Amino acid sequence: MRNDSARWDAPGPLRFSSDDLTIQDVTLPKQTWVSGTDVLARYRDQLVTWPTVVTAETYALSLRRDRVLLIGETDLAEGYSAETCLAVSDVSDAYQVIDISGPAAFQRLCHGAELNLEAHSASVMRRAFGADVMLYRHGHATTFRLHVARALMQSVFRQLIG
Amino acid sequence: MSARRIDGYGVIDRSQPLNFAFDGKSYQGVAGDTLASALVANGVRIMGRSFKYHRPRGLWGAWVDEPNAIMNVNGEGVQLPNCLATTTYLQDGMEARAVNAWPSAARDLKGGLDLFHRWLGAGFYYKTFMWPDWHLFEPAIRKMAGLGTVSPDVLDGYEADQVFDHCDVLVVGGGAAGLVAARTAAEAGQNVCLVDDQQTLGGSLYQLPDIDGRSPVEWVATQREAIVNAGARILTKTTAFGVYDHGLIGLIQSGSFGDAPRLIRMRAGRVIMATGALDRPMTFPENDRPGVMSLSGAAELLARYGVLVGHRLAVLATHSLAEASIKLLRDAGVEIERIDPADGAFTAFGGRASTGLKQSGRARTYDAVLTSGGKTPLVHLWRHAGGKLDWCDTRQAFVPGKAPDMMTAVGAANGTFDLEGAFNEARAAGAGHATMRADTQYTVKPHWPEPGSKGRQWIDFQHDVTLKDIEVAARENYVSVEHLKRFTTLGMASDQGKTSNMAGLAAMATIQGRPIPEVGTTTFRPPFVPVPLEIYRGAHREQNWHPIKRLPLETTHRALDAALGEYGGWLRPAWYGTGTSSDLIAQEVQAARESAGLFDGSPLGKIEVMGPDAEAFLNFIYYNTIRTMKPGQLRYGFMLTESGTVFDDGVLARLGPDHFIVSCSSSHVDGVRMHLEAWRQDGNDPDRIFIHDATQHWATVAVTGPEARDVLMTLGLDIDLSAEAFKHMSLQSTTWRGAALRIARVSFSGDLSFEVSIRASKATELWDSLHHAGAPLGLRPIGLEAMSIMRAEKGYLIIGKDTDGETMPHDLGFSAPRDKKTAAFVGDRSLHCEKANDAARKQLVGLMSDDRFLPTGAHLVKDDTSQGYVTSSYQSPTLGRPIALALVTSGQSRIGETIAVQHLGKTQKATICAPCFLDPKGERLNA
Repeated sequence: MRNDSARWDAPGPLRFSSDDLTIQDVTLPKQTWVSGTDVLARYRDQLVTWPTVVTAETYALSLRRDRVLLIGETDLAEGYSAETCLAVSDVSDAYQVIDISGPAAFQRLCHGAELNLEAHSASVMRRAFGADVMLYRHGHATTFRLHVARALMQSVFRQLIG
Repeated sequence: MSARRIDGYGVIDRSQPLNFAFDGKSYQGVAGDTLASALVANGVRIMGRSFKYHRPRGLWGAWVDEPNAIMNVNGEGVQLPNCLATTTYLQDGMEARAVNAWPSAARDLKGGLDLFHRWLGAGFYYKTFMWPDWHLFEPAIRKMAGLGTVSPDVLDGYEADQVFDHCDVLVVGGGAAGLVAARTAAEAGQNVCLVDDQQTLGGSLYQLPDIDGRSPVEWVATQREAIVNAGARILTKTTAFGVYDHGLIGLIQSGSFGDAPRLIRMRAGRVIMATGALDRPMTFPENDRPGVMSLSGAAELLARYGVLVGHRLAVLATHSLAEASIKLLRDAGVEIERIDPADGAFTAFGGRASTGLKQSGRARTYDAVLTSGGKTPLVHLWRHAGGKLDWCDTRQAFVPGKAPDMMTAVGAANGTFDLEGAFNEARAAGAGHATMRADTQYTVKPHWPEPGSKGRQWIDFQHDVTLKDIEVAARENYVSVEHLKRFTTLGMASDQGKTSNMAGLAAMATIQGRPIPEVGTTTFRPPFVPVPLEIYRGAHREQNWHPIKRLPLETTHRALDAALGEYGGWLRPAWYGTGTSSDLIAQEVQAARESAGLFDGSPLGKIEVMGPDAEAFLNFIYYNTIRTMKPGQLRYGFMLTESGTVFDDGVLARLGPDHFIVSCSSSHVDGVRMHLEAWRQDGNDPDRIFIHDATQHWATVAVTGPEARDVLMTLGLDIDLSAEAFKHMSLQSTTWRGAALRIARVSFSGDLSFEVSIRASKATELWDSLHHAGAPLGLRPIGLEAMSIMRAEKGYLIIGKDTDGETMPHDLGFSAPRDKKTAAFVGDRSLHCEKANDAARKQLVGLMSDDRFLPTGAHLVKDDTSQGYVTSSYQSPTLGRPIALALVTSGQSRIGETIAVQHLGKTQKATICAPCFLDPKGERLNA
């Protein structure tokens, strides 16, 4: 085995700024996976799909027909509840989150992801820069929030800033 | 030389002269020229050499159909190989050299090869170089093969941009039909993107005197303005090179020479293919002579670049559209003689200064001989998309037939060569209406190759495939077009048969006495034109080429001077410190065996399986019995494939009646998750099982060694860590500094161990606390190399290293579930097949040797037959001698046998033993 430490950049801060693009890391209070047969219906009022612009503090990202990612504090207990028929896992640290904003934000994302603001999608799951991510708009039509698996965030960030 | 630039023609900028060189000679062109048009304007006739015979070659066409003028080009500090002179726009200071020629295309030393053509026909290569050994000839052949030369210099900054895009309607081709279709669609409110591979829109329109009473330049400008005003995008110098699934079109957009092109992955709702048609060469003796070129190519050189290929020309054309080209050339002052092929066989001659034609005993000399055997619609994209082709007797060409879902062909690409018909089709297609190919005024007299006729007649110019080669292929029974292609290399040159395929098919059809459509076409595959590999690489380079997963503790490891390496897709510490790695690793093992080691096990799987059917599901997924597990218990087990081979091993934790955690191998997490999801959705009720892969939420820090318990106790946890209260293979949950903690008493080292999992953002705090508290006790961080040795000392296996694609659990000594488990599980049936019961299966064993190290991969040999191989081998710091694991035929019944170990010509002896070298009773483990 050889020492490949120098071949890979040490992890750095997830921040970048240029004239038309700003990337900033975001700390969310909590991220929780909730799975259940009727979970989309349960969270209908908080559900975030593509290309919704989120303005709420607490919301539920629609991932697939039986799963959401709850953003914000929740009193759901981890594990499976026979009463609610929901499976719950705290994944607050599984995903790192960044906001990408500025006039060039969408175009920059299009370098690594196939995106269409005109096409509605029931899920915010996307393949971007080689990783499975969650992508949606937050706060403003040109601010995109990206959740990336922690282990791959450095790679996605490097590609984002070119 | 009579070729020259004339006034009054072309869409070039004569006010911008550009200096360039070709084969060492200096020339001047103008802005808007291609290399080819500038060379023709300067009277250059020979621009390349053919691949095999090194025949001198002039220009055939004026755009992508050109097979001959291929060049290495230097410009803007960059050298690029195999640039097509007809599609490379001239820039000041360019230096071009013909490929496959030395010292120049005009005077190529290898030109003499043509004298040996009788012995170099199709198939000679396969037959000649078999004896005595191909490798004898290989170096010389490899040196001669290929065309351009790749620069040895790294092209700094040559990085292709890659972008995804989408549109409602993609119009490919900016000629008459494409412009009208794009305008109609855009004005109908569609999101339209029009792409054209030339830098100036218009296709072949500039060959027309006027369109609707306006000059071509005015008409094109009007369409362009209307398209842009309607909100559509126009991408010039952009080629649609391939159509892929679900409406994905590959576009390559070129910039200045030396700049890497851009890859656009365009998702289009509809595609309107307006790619036009090409002139088809006529096949006659010596038809490859310089000066024999396509009629439309000559017309295009005049119309776009203001270049006349000569003032005295012969025209051999068999279709009605030729008249317009002839008129264009005559109006420019050219003297043209029309030659009727029906008047007798004809042969070309000459080429260097002029080109001659002999017919019926009469020989005449011209500046060039312009030929056109008909029009061939460019249907490549249509076929990429899965569209069918129909043979049209009227047009003597394949034309688009049954359409693919999202594509419409219009204009010449659809076989509609009449302008008004093309406009009608384009308007209908632009509006999204069905199109019907109208009757055509176009007529053509077939003039296909005549097998058996005399003379060397070229079918594929670049690859030197002649009519005789087609005949040889037929004689050798390579009659299928796909076999013909591979035997002769017809259509396999960089032009991919744009000019040669039809003639080749027609020749084969005649030989077989079958109609052309029955012979069929070869498969059209992307890319339509050669594209640099760089467009596929783009940003996927260096650290972005195959991104590695990063640990939450990476910064901590780097601060501890860890040597990081890739293990199963993760960047992990191999060892810590500076010095000789083997010494450092040995020290880590000794510290962990004598005191304690601190190990980052964060990549270990933490896949939660929940729901009312979770227990039954996992009992089905695992080889081992899961039903009997109680909350708080851990169980080591295997997942098998349906063929019964070991897919993964790991530890399963039961947190509650319907809540489990699958802790699979670090490098298998993604695979195991998919395995679980696949079975969840197939044969199980997905509404009663939920799978959450929470691996990356949790960081795992393992404390291992005799002092592990004492180190862990320094955290001040509210749980009893004693051996009695916290037994091996059990799990407890608690909190530490407000964060949830899961502690598994499980060991991969063979010593007392605790795997402590905490949310990733708290991992550094936990690591530092344990490191700080353990240091006085002799604890030190250990890397994966030390852990690998320790697990091998204990005889613990690594799936994929100590197993192969055939290993079943009973080969590893785990037979009980196979014999006793009554519930169904994945792989069950395969464990009872004949192969699974073979007495000669390879089984996991240990190997003891003398003081010599056994190389991993070395074969164990008996009676000159391999009995298996070494899977893991280390110098054990604990035992002070080499140890190894191996897969050996019937290994478990051969304990004590001495066997030869062979590797790279060396042989040594080893004794087969049980795979566990340390603490076989588990006293250290259960301490």
